[in-house]
Amino acid sequence: MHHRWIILTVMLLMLSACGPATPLEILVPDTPAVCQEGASLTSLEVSPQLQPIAEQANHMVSANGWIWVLESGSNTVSRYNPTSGVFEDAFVDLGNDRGPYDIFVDGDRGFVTNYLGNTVSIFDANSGEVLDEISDPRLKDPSGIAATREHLYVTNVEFLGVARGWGQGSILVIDRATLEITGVISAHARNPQYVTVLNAGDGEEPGKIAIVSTGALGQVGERYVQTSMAAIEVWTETEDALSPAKEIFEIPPPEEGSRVGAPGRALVSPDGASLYMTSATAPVVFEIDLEQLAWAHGADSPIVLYEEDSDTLHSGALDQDGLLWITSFNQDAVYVLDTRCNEVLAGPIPIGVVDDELEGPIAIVSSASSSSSQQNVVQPDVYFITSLSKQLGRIEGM
Amino acid sequence: MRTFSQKFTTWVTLATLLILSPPAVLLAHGEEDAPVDGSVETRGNAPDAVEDARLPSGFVTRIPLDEVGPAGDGLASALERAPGVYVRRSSSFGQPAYIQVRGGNPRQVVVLLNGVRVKVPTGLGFDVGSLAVAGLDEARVYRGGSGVVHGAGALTGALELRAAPTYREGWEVRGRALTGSFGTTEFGARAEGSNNAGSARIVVNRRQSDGDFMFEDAQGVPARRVNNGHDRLHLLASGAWDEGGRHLGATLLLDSGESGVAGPSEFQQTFGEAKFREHRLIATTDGGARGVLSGDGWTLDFQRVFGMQYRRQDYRNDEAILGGGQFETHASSVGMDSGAQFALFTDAGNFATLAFSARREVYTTLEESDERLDVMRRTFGLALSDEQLLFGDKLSLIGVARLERIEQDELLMHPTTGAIGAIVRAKPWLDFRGNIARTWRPPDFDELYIETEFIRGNPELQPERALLADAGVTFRAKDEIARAEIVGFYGRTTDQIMFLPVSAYVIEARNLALVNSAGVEFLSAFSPIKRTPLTLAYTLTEAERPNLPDRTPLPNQPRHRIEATARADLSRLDWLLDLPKLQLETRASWRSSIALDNFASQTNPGWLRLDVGLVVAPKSWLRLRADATNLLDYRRAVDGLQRPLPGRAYFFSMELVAGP
Repeated sequence: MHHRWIILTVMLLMLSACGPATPLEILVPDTPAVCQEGASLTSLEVSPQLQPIAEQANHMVSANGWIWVLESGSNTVSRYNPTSGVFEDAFVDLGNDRGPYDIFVDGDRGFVTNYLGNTVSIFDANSGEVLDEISDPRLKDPSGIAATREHLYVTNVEFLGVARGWGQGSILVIDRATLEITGVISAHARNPQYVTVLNAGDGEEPGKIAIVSTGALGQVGERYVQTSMAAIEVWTETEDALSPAKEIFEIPPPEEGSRVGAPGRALVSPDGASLYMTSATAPVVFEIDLEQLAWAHGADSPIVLYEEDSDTLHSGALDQDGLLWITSFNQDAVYVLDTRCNEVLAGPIPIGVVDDELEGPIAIVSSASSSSSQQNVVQPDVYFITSLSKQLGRIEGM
Repeated sequence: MRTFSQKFTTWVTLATLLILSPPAVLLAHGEEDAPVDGSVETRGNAPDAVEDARLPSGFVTRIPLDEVGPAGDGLASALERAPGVYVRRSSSFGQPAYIQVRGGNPRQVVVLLNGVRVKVPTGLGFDVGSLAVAGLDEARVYRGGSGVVHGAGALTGALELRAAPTYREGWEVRGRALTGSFGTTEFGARAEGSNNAGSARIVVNRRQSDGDFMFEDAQGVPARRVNNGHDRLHLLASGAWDEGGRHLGATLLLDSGESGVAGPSEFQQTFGEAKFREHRLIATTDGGARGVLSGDGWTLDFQRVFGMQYRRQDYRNDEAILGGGQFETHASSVGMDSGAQFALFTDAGNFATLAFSARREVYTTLEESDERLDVMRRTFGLALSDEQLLFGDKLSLIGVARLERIEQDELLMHPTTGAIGAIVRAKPWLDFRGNIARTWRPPDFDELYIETEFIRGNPELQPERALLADAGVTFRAKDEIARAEIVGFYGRTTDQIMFLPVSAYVIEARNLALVNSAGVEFLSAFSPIKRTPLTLAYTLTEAERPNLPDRTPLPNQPRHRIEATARADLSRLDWLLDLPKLQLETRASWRSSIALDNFASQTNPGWLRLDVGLVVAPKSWLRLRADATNLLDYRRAVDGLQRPLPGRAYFFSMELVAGP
């Protein structure tokens, strides 16, 4: 009898020990340039399932040689090293009921806004240990976070609930050295979600930031659209931290039938001359000319990525070659916009593994190892995360 | 698609179990002494294969509930003992749990009480976690195509609960008190009496628990579960009368209570005030007569059933997750179900049934936005089944055909379902049986019509359809002292309905193309040594959606599951105090890892749960019981994302019995 049980046991162990499936890969052939003297792309290999990540990942950044992934549903930050391939799961455990929204890594320290916790966590970027947590009644649904040399800026979304919508919204100014709250500045428009550093400043040049207020969002008919004024504010720091010089760029609610609006995180071109914003509701990109301080492509003439009538959601990352990599949530795809001439260089590049289910690419970054040759052929190394299939993926030039 | 190696391992496992099982149980048969005092048993509270006369070739498991110990978690724990079944828990005892069969999901299992359908066609499925077992006698799990006898909705199986007083002459009153971990207390009383014609029983049970167990979250951080308590009152009264070939039964079940709705483990504070109240009243009556008509070589029996259910559910969270405002929903449902069945027996070896059924289900919601949803569904059914015995009863050929008409607002559906099966009775102790069935499930109310800010139903949904096949061997040793059943199954579901994100803002009910499942079920009960009955259940389930990458399992479905129980009965032993009852029980439950999301990116490793229990009756009127569950104190188990299950727990109970 014994040998039969041994055989059975061995068989059961074999059954349960079968290894994971081979990673899927998608190949994309060479892409010629679309702009005069613009970049072309080498053939691409897409690895949609490079690494499983935790639930509701919503943002990622590249800093200190790591890709940092913010996992809102698990209150964690994981990180991936593109060079070594090491993945550190839950590198930072922010604690329960935080709902992290944005991350800013500043050398040895990192900062995370906790939307549900109404706090800002400060962690050691080398060990992952949470060092401190700023808690203050003036933090109201904190979302975006970024820092100049002098100040840390946190945007307060102030969402009052489904029935009441968004409150005024504000930006909290924190002294970077002491981490004391200096004060609060009202946002120009509702739903200030993002803040981007345009210039960290130094002793001679003041710091400069861009704040994006997406405007209220709501369902109109069958579609989600921006329902109140949106705005991009470009602030230049002055001696009074609470009185920056402001340039305001408004986006009115779209007219009936249009979904153009809901600007996303501001992205600065490599030469610092332009600011790009993707849209949370339409397949378009907005551009502000920072030298002229004027819309280059505003709501009336946005850059169109593709034609689509249903809900859309995009996020983007600008690489060192001026290529704007854009995730398209509802298409499980990535587009590449060459900002030299604002033409779509590539896309839709499929990054999903399933045809009939959304995987939801939600954020993208270009790693420092992306490179371009003398012939201006870009060999990208881009990473993205999907919030529904919970994966870190990669687009790599071959 | 499954790979060749997967198919190979499935069928090799099937063959291996087939080869192994008869010698194993035969050995047990040979060693088993005839019971001297009736205390050695392999039936008892062990699950057993039974036949439903409408499709006797189907695979149905009967699980006695009367002897379910206080250590387990009631009905959910009992159902886990059946092969082919997986119970998905959301938390500890008293919190919701859902049964799924053969790789299906909980919506695809209909649930009945005494033949009356009590599963409301909305929500995640029938909650077997919060319903008390007290007063229920047995559960029957219809696996795969055997559920076809219960009509549309039973896509992958059915669960029938039975509450019927036993016919033991005399009367008996019992009182029971329990205390245990996580602030759990339970008080119950039960009175029953019988004479030679009828019997009656009334059971009342009050159970409450704080449910504040410790667990470890996904990052390995210890935490305490909060807002996880419950307080429920359960009242069940039933009566039966049987005389002169006629029988009549009635049952009334009241189940009412409030429970905390603990949020995901990472967001407990956000759901710290969320409460769920539920009130459920079910009344059933059944009756019939044997031989209402008869002639030369034939006789006709009649049975009928009628039942009503009212259920109200209220959810309230004073601090909703976004914006901090109050959020509440209210829903109620009323259902009526009736059926009549004529059964014809002939001396020529034919058994036929003709059944009619009518059901009315009304579901009403009062959503936060004051948008009221009223839905009514009427279902009429006609079913014919026939079993023909051939070759001196060695072969049975069975056919079941069922036609239904479902009226719901502007929808009109005509599901046709059915099965064919066969039984080969090779030996008195060995039979082979197989079935092919076509099953059907109409979309639930919420799948069709729910309309919230982010979740939408889809009125265009198609019903789910499944093609199911199974084949197995049943072995029964002399005097039932050992038995075994091994079954291979296959299922192919088309248009499976799932709520899926269709954009960044909207989750909508959609028909998926295909879901495949295949596997092996094994159930055995025997006594290798005197007074120690053992049961073993094993299930291999390979369930997948072909549209996903190869080897991506369905969420919440383990590939392997083993359930083993052993009991040492030391009652009435001279050398051991000669106690009326002294019994040691152990139970081991193991499941392999499960995926927690559609893409299997998040998983929970396999885990082994060990339970032990000791029952001592120093006097015939006093029974004491001590139990330890999850003895290994494993605290990282979840059945769903951020839904931790409790670690080690202890329970103590005392029961007083009065009677002649």
